[in-house]
Amino acid sequence: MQLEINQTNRNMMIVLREQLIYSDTSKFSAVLQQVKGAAIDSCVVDLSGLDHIDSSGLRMLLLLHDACKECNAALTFSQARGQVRDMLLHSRFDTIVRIDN
Amino acid sequence: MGQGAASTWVCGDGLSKERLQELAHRMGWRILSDLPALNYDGFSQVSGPGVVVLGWADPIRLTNALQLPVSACIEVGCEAFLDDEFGLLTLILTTATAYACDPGTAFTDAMISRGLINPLRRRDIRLALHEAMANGIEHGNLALPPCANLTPDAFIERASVVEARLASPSFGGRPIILSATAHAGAVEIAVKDCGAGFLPGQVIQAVAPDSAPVGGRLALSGRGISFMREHCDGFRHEDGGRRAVLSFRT
Repeated sequence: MQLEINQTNRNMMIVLREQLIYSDTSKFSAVLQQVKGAAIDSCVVDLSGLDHIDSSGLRMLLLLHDACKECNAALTFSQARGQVRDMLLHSRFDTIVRIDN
Repeated sequence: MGQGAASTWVCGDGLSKERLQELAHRMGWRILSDLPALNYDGFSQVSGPGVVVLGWADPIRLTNALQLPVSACIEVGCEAFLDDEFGLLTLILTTATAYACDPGTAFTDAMISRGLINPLRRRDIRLALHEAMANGIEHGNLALPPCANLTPDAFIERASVVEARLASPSFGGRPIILSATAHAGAVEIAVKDCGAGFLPGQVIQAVAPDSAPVGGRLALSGRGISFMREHCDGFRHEDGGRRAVLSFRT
């Protein structure tokens, strides 16, 4: 996984690229730590560059959802495509998180 | 071992000439070239099963090694885990290397480039292998508990445990073995770990990926088994849970 995190005022943008799988545990741990320590109102995850995700990656996104709830930040998954979009919708993420095109 | 047959040739990459000679002598293999395997261009002139031994690996080196016309690719030190019979392709890495190198994708692409599986199944096979690798590494070789009740804080703590265990020879040094074999109308890919297997009461229950949220929450674990079943043409566990066998029609 390639990762980029930017924060402007109270809005956080997380860009994930390539793939999000079981072996990204450490990198995603850093994402959760940063979100938990941030004073934010919104968190947008740009998935346009992510081409593959497995069940461990889905779990990491669910934990990001939990971390955002803890700090009252609205979470949005943006521009998911291909396999990643299929996996999110198949797993009904759209019932708990906003998924933008 | 069957692999000691004199017809088996070996080449090395990322390990010293002396180490390769010692290994070849011990296993009864003949050395194909003193050159690094990736620089050798005479593969078309040899017959018999070949093994490439990696002294170290990163994702690119592993991908390149698996594109060589060999029957097996092993990390040095893992040779004792080679089976007596070569199948279509075998890959043996330590857990620490496997965690860093994404062998699931490299193995999938090697099977496709050999014409052993339909390229249209790449997405299915890559996902199924990632799920099997995740189980074999995390619950098998690293002996981590299931993830059903993780919180963000517990995940952060778990990540620290993963790093510590990967750095420990007794966990990170355990081999994980991917092997592909041909069957009537199908290819089977097995992922074998060296962990304790299923423990009573610790078998992860499969969760349908499209299960509705409960109390505003989706299930944190159990999708992996379901994805393997959905994306393979057959799936089973063997060896007390240490070996996941994925079947794909050809």
